[in-house]
Amino acid sequence: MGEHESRAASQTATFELRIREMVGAAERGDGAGVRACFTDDGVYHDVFYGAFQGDEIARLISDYFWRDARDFRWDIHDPVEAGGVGYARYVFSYLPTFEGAGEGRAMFEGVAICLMRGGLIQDYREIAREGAALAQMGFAPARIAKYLTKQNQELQGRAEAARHISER
Amino acid sequence: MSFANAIRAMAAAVERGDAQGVVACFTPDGLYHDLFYGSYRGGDIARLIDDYFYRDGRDFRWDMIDPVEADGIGYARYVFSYTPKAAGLEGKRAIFEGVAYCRMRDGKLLEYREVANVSMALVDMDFAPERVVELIRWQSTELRKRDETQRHL
Repeated sequence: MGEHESRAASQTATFELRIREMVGAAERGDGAGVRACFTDDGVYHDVFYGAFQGDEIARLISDYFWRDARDFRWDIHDPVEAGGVGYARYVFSYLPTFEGAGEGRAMFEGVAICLMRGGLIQDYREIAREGAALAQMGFAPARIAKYLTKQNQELQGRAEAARHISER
Repeated sequence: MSFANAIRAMAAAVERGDAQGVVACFTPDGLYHDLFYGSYRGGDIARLIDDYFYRDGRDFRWDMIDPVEADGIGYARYVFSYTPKAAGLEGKRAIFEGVAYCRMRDGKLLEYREVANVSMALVDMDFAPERVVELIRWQSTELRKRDETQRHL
């Protein structure tokens, strides 16, 4: 194993440990445990609930995740980190508890994308097929479309999307 | 070839409509799993580009961001867009983001898969919400068949 591969393997091991700690804490409703996986200024960008920084991350878990659902299951697959960027594919599911949610579990897959600093998560983002969960929970197609439009507008507002829409 | 070079070479070949260039980024038994069009292996990957990508779109733009590789697995976030050819979509541009995750062998792509929010592009192209949800449900069915999702059902 060369130096580059050895360093990547070591970074991956640290990232895997941290991301598994984070999902384990989320599964058991341990907001402080999730928050402890982040740097002091760390930011958690959730696809449904938005961005939470530092100690506010605990509130994301207690006031949003566990307000709207229970019995979370969050499996991490194939975590990889190199150069301070970590990726991990995941399968996520939960039992919605809010009024109007359909019966049964909601499930979707995604990829966590993390910037790491000092072995902790500095920035957590995700790209997911969360529309599947909305459909499973019985959201009306028009409401799902409205949500997706908002997501698309956010993407189109980024600098990295500029060359993709320049001829519109 | 590193994963970063291979995945960027693949995206560039797609952009210029070079189907053989895409195939060349894969091992001879390599698999390309496309979210819209399904799975293509080896030389058949060229057909995915010629018969599907360029049948339905033109002016593809595909940017790979933050590629990372370790232990034979590569990930790269991407922004992807194209101009659809279908009647009624004149002047539209479809755009979505995703993550490519690949298995590598000997510097080539052994397997290409992706997680992407493709339905946001359909909504932006004014597809009827019911049709978008139909696609979402179809993709969800595929997810539910995998071993890795059984404890989630």
